[in-house]
Amino acid sequence: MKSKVSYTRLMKSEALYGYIFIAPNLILYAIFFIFPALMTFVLSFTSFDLFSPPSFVGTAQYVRLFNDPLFHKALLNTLYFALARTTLTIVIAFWLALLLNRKLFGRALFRTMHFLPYVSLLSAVALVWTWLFATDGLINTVLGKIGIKGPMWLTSKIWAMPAIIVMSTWKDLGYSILIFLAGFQTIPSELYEAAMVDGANWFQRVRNITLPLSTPAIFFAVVTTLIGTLQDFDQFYFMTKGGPAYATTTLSYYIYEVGFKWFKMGYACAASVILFLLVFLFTLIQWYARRRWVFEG
Amino acid sequence: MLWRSRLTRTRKLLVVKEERMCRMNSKVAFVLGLLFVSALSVLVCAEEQASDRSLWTLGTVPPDIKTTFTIISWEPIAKFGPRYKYIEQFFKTYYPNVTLKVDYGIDWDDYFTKLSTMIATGNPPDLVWMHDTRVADYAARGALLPLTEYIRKLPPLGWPDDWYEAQIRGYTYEGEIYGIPQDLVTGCIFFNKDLFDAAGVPYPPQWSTDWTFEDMIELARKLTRDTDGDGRIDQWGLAIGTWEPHACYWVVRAFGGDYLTPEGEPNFDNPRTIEAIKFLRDMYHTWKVSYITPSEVDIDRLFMEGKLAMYSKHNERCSIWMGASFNWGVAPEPRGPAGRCQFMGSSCWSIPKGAKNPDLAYEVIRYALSNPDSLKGIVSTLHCLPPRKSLAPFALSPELAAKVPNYTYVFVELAAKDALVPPYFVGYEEFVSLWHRYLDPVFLLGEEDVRGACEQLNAALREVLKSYRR
Repeated sequence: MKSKVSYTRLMKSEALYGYIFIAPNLILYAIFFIFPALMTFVLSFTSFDLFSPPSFVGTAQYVRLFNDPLFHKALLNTLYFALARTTLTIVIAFWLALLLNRKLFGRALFRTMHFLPYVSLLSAVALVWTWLFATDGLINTVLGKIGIKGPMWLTSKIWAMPAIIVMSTWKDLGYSILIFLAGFQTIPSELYEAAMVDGANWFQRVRNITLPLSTPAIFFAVVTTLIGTLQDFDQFYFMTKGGPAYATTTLSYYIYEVGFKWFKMGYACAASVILFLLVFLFTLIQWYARRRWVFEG
Repeated sequence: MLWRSRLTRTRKLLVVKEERMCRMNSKVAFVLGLLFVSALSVLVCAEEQASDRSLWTLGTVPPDIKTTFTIISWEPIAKFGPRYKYIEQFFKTYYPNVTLKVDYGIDWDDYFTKLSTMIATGNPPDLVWMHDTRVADYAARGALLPLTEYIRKLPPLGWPDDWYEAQIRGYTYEGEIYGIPQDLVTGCIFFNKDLFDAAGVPYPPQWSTDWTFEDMIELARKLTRDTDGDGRIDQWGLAIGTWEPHACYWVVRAFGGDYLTPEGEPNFDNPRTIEAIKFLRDMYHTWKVSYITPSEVDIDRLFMEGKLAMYSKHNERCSIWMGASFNWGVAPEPRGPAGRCQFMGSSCWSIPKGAKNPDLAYEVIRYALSNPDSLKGIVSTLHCLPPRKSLAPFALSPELAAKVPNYTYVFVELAAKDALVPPYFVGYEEFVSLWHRYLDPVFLLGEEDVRGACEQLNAALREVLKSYRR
């Protein structure tokens, strides 16, 4: 009985220390995330131009949003960008991680090279890719050498978004590669040894061991990449300004344009709430779907 | 003997004493004189300073005020520097206890987001560098303080006759002035002389306006070339900005069109406006003399690389292109079907709502824009024009005069007759977005239904303007 009491006290005291340690983080999180998020929700029911006091307009901003063709366009662009980029990133990063996991000459150098774009400044990367994608840029020059007339990448309604998807995928590959490489280290080597004894080739080992046992890492990479892509802004801002003719306007860019250029902050807040719900919905779907495909053995 | 020697000694002592007295008297007189003169000088100086202070200050701010005065600008130090020098001088002279804090070189794309956030959060700077495209939008929302009352109390030197009326009108919203112009840029056609020489094509007229849009296109066609024979154009004839409505406003006006009617209604269903938009489209897709891009940066790059023959831009670019490796010149914009129009633009000083030291801010604006030395310093660095007519000659540095002999003719004399400030109305930024939405397909993608695009733009702009009137 006595020991139980002291154990509870210990627990209480440990819990108290725990709260003290996480308090700074919680307080800052509340100030810089929860409070602004709540304010965004409140302001989405107002008409607010940043400089004058907001006035309550009920659900008018949401009604306008659902009738706004530009918002629909931005929503579709966001889904197109997010799904295409996440798929490309996960597939390419997984295969690159498999290659970089092998005992190659200069493996550390290759790993660093793949991670470098991730830590590079996006504005600088975007500028370089804008030059690469210029009508008379390097990509079209190379294509011209092999007899292909390259399109006007960033001024074409069809090609502008794929161009940005390619650039963004290249930029963020390093992060997913790192996650996958970390995931590969948790797979017991005995499984590979047993498979080799059974005569499994490299592809079979990847398919039957690496892939299923990497699903927790893949799940994590998919969730974080998708959340990130739904909110991506900088590359659109630096490379196309949402153009041509709104072909690359995503929700994040539209929110910025409406809020800070048109001073319709109430409307921008309503669009932000929709973006939040979209991110939340995607995360929720993945969370429940994970039971079907993520190995948690 | 003893008596005689004592007498002689006493006499000598008396003489020495007398001499000393004399010397002392002259010293005292000298010192007194010096004190008198100094006191007189101090009095005169104090009087002068007092009158000088009344010339440059409103008299509402105590000279010993202790505060931090903040200024923000997108211009880098190279351009902000000359202004900073004089502003610092102002504070040293009149408010020595004020700490000056300047946040310069803010990226243009971030500048207005930062400014809006600073004003909205109640932490605005004391003085802001504003752009003519934004003043109406900020003024209409009460984000800037009206300066009319300040100007009435203590007008800037030469106000209003020595200032450009079109500029002041551009900074006026509902009868109140919200910005005082600090520079002036006017438009021209820059041309690459080397490309003209290589093609054996005569230069456009530099000392007259005796050329037309047809002449300009004809020259551009001759100068658009595939120089390496790979089937791709790598030397372009002409660039007129369609990335922002104000960059090609002079073309629209030269066709007799406009963005708004005199009543302030959208004017994109006007056949002349449509004709101008069609001309700009044809430049890309029919005559194929212009490089298709949504970005001004690409065009600047092409011109600097010597791959562009003619570029419609304004005099501020002179400072950037002074270091170009090729010969270039300046021609006036050609005449259009309805006459000739030239671009006029500027930035200004404004005081944001909630500024802690508005009176001080106005004094700074006035000092910086009234002091001829300050303005000479500004123009010599920027190659812009000063906002005051009488100071225009100071804009021409010896290097600039040698490089651009027709500088005054094109940028000052012709501008005085033909230059117009584009209409920067409330909701202008939303109009820019609509411009891209409906006219990007025309300019960038070659959409042929120009009339349809213009009519759609007209209808959308009407809704936007209506929403602001509500």
